[in-house]
Amino acid sequence: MILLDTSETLAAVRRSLEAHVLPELEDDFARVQVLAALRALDELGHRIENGDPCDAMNRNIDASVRAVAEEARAEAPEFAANLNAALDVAPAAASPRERAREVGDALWRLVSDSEEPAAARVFEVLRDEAIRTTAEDREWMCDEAIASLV
Amino acid sequence: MSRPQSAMVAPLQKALQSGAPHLGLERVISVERFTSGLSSQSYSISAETDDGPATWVMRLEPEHGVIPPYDITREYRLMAEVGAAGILAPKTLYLEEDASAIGGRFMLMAHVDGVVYGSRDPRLAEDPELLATVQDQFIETLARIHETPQTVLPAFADGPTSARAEVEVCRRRLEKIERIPAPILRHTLDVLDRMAPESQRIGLLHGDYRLPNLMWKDGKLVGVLDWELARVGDPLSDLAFTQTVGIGPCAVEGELAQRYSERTGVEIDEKLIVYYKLLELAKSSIIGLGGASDLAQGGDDLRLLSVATIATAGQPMLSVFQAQLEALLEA
Repeated sequence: MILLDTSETLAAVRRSLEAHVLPELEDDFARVQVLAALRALDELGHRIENGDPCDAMNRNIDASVRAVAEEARAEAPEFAANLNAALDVAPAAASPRERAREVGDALWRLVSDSEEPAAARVFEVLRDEAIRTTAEDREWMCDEAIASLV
Repeated sequence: MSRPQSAMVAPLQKALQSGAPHLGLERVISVERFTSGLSSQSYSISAETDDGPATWVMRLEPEHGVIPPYDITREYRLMAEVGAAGILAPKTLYLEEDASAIGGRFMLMAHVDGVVYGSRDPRLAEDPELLATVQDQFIETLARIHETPQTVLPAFADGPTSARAEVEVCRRRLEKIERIPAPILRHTLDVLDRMAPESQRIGLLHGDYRLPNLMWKDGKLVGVLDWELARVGDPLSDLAFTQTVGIGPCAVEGELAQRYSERTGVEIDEKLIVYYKLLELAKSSIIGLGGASDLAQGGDDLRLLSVATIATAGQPMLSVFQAQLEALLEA
């Protein structure tokens, strides 16, 4: 068993790669792979400290869509029930990304062709949550990786 | 950037000696992989032939990647056909359709000797005369591509069919690669499907027409590379590409658009340009998201994580273009 916490381990791996591997690499392609790996480690460290953003996204969508369903229940009871069913479509053991994909897909099928006013509100929830979740994603981008592809 | 691939030398030599006797290959000296770009794997081949030293470029069809489905046979045949029609595609030399020969189907083409100008190349920024001649040839070659007859790619009738077909391709691809919900992208595709315009003309499109895919020597265009995204559709789609994904000093807008229009007779409807810009951005976003999917399927190029990140982070921009399109087309 590694005796360090997960975040301590990631930080140590990062320091090792930066101090002992990167300076020795003359192959540009290998260097950029290591630089990209360092950014991935940074994001994983952030995930450990702050939780998986996909989990937060799932929770926010669940709460917001259930609220929309509750508001719509009086005027569109069937649609409201379908919204709640879509939120429950993923098995309990699903990973955060599996859940996000399955629930997102079920909600999309429900709202994309619907004229219900609640459908537009659900779309806004999905869109706003996508924007919120990805707002800071550029922070994890490896500039050298992109530059090497151009 | 390029990397030596010594393990490929022997099987490539065997494949070329048995399949391509016209090359007169005596031995393959080295194989180096180019590491830029997201497309088919490309390699520089140094060889000795009975005519002396030779340098070729090989494109290998990958098992998976961000721009599937790969079809090296189609690319080879199209390049041969447009080359015969006078377009400056690299000369095709050999197509190996036996994937077991070196670990994938591949094509061999002539090495084009020249330089590539980047999208923000200081050599162009500092030399107005060079920039002007580059722009002239950029427009002329694009016009000629659009006018080139070909029999390799499936044709579309005029009307909204070609745009709708592209949207459908995007939808199918997104279904396969979506790892977390992409509601903005899905909605964008719905809008693009609903608003698919009548094409005024259908022609051959390069699909990736930008400065980094063109080679120049002494101020003259000598090579049009990377034909894997070529398709048939509305030429305005290629123009919109130069204004978005391919943005740079040769973006076909303003005066350059006017010159293209005078040269080809194609009327440039700004509403349609907005439509095709949105379509190009959506396609580019889907290609980027494919980076994450590729890694999940066994890919080993970690740069694709960043490509997927850009694609995710850039999706809100689609909403802006989409609103602009809806306002324009519904006005």
